[in-house]
Amino acid sequence: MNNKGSTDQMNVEPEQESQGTASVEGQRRLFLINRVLIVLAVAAILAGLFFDQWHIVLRNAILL
Amino acid sequence: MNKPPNNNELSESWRFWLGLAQKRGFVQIMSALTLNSYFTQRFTKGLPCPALNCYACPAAAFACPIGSIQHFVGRRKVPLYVLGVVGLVGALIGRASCGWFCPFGWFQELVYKLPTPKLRLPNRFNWTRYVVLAVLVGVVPTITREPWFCKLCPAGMLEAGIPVVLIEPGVRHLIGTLYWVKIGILGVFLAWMSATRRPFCRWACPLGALWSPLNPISSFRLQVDQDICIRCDRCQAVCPVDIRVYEDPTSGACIRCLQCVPECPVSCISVTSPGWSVEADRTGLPGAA
Repeated sequence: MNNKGSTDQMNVEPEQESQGTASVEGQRRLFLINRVLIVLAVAAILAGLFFDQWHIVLRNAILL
Repeated sequence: MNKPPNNNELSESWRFWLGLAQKRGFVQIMSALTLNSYFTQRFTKGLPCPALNCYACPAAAFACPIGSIQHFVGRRKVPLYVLGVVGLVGALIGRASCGWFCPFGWFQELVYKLPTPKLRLPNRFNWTRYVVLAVLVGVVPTITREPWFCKLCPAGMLEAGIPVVLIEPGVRHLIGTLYWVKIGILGVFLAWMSATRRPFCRWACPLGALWSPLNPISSFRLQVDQDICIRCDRCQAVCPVDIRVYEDPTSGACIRCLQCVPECPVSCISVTSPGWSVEADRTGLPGAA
């Protein structure tokens, strides 16, 4: 019985370990995507401000 | 199977989110007042607000992002500034704005509290909000150069169409067929929101449609410890958008209201963020996230 138990444990542990690694990798990928998106959003805001879109939004909102 | 933590084992960060979840009503009231604070509009109306709040409302202090996007689209310009603001909010907090800051979302929750017969509808067809976004905010304004979503928006009717007509008698002669169509749309949604939770957010909101794909990658996310979860569906019972949080904690439908967090009987739902998930987990124990 003990032998069977330890065999099961040996089969399960590498699988759990690989799942854990995949989860950490997934978290890291999400973190990177999130930060890239934040940078892109800030870049879009700055580009919009450069083209004076703030005034276009303001004028449109005030004219209503 | 992990053991559910008792109250003494809960981390300070988890207690913080729990306390915040209980203050959501107050935040919603303050947000509705801030977005419609009137006196600041000279300085702030060039800023797109993180919610669907009509800028034609006499008290509106910020610009509606959806109205602004249509304006740019109608002028054949890329709305970089507005999309940047919307994208930044989405990247940071996902659809949490819908759950915490949107006055129309709050209004729907209030109407749902009316003692009327309730109708639970599955979220199967909630892709319709993407159709609204593509057709009424994208394609039609590009062709007609008119903001067609605004012309039909029930939030606009409630916050601007009706108040403006009541306040300014001089505009009453402008009321035409479209006004009554818009009243009809608002009436349909009012009846629907008294029976079903947040129908506009779930099936029609184009701003929610912009934020939904950002939910899984936003900095502010939910996570469920599947080993502890007992699938009791208490999370769904309190969820304003009627979702089972354990099925997909990063679902695009989730509005991050956190109502499920204190409700969970085994405390398996926690707030997390890419990069600092360990600090924000339920027990605060290293490696427990």
